[in-house]
Amino acid sequence: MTMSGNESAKLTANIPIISVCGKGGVGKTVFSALLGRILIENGLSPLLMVDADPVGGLVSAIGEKAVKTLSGVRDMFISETRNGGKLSAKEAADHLDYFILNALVERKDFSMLAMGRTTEKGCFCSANKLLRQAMDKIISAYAGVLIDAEAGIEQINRDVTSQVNRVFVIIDASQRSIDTLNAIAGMVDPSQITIIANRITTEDLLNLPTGIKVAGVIPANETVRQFDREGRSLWQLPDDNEAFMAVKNIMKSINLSNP
Amino acid sequence: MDVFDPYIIKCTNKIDEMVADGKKIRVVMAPPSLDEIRGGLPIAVGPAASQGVILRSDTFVELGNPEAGSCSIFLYTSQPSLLCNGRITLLGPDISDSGISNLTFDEVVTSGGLHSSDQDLELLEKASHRAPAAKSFPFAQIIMVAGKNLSENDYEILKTNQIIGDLIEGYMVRSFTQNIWSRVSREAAAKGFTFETLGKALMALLKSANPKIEAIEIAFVTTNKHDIDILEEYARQIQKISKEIVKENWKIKGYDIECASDCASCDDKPVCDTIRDVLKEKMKEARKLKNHKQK
Repeated sequence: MTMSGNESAKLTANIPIISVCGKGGVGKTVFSALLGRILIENGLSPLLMVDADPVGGLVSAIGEKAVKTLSGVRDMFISETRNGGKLSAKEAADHLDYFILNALVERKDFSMLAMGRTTEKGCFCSANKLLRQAMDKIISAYAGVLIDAEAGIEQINRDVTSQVNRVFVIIDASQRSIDTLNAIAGMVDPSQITIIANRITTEDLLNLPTGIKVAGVIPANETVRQFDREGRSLWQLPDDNEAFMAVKNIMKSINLSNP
Repeated sequence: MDVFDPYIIKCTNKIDEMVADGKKIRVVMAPPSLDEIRGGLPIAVGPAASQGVILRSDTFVELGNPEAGSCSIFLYTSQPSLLCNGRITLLGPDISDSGISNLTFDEVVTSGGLHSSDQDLELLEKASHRAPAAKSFPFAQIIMVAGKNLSENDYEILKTNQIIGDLIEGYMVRSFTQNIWSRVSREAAAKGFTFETLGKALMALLKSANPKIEAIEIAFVTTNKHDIDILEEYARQIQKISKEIVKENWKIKGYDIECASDCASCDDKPVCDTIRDVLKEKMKEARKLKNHKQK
């Protein structure tokens, strides 16, 4: 049985669905990992964390492993349907939630879902629609959703949920990160956007185009770099870590420390 | 003899074999009337009784997750005498055994019904808050129904009802072909949800769905993956037979559903599309004609 767009929206209407976007390499994954820890510590639990990076950065950044991915579920569904596999298209659609549940890494306060990389070429809008509906049912079991996205928001709308209601755009000192921000701003309600500057100095900030307000700055931090190099979970960073504290303070200032 | 009768015998023999191997069997009889079955349940059963997704953190027991192994078997016969009506059999640990052992199926057998004491509930609640991870069991569910007037068509409809996860409070089911993966919530476990509850809830739901059912018997197996694998092989064979029956029934109606590909990838899709358009036009014309005649 399929849900209408309205039914699907009802399931997820009352929970924060946060997406972290920005140009590749600006530090979205580090920010997402730290934000996830803060949200959980502040009671947004259970939290569904979605790693929408095809190479799975967020999963390892919080010390987890994801063997199965949502793209794997989508590919299986398309392949079964296309090749007249052992399941009919209807049977495969009926069982999608079994496979999504199987792709979830479930922990006490949070779950992790990796998007992975699809191997099936083509648009497959209808398959994506079914997946989104199944995802919305899963999402309804959580207190909030945090998505570490690719550059823009369009992939989230297509692959995960169309119900994102808060977008963090991470920028750095590069012009390309500002260009990406402008592109995202064209797709999202501006009131839902919060801009975070990462690894930026006060001098760099002065070069930002007029009209761009930054909610806060995360300083470059050697311990974060070291944890990254060693593949250690960023959730093990000490409480007084400068970058962690900066994210914490930004969340307090925008009133998202206790959603 | 009906098509699934040999498998009813096979499943019954397998259970006997497991008992002969020294595995503990626990049996409870459900009352014959639907009202009595429903009345004795510690949880709600029916539309919207379940809250939907049960996360692992809220799970007391997980049954048949993909690593543990699972299978779901559904069989029907026109001979009620082949079944022991109302019998619920459990081989392996019960749901309550996973956290605390003083609520066992044995008590159900000796006392004739499970009504857990306040102390039991308190202990269960304590256990459920303490337990960081749910206990996981391999899981096989065997449902056998009988009715002189049951048809293959009834079987097809009932088969989809055997995984009625959203109709049982505190119980979530996800299924894939012959596999069944379910979770019992901590809240439901604290209310006294056991395999007796599940068996009775399934009986109530199936009997309500089809009054032609005269006898029903359910067995649950939670012993080990080896036992489940054997039953899973039966499930595969049963599914194959079931698909053949559906195929043959459609053939009788004039449709061959043994199609190796779907419409989207079929070379003859334009032909079918044209025919579909012609059919639409014909239907429009027929409607117009009907309206005209009514005027």
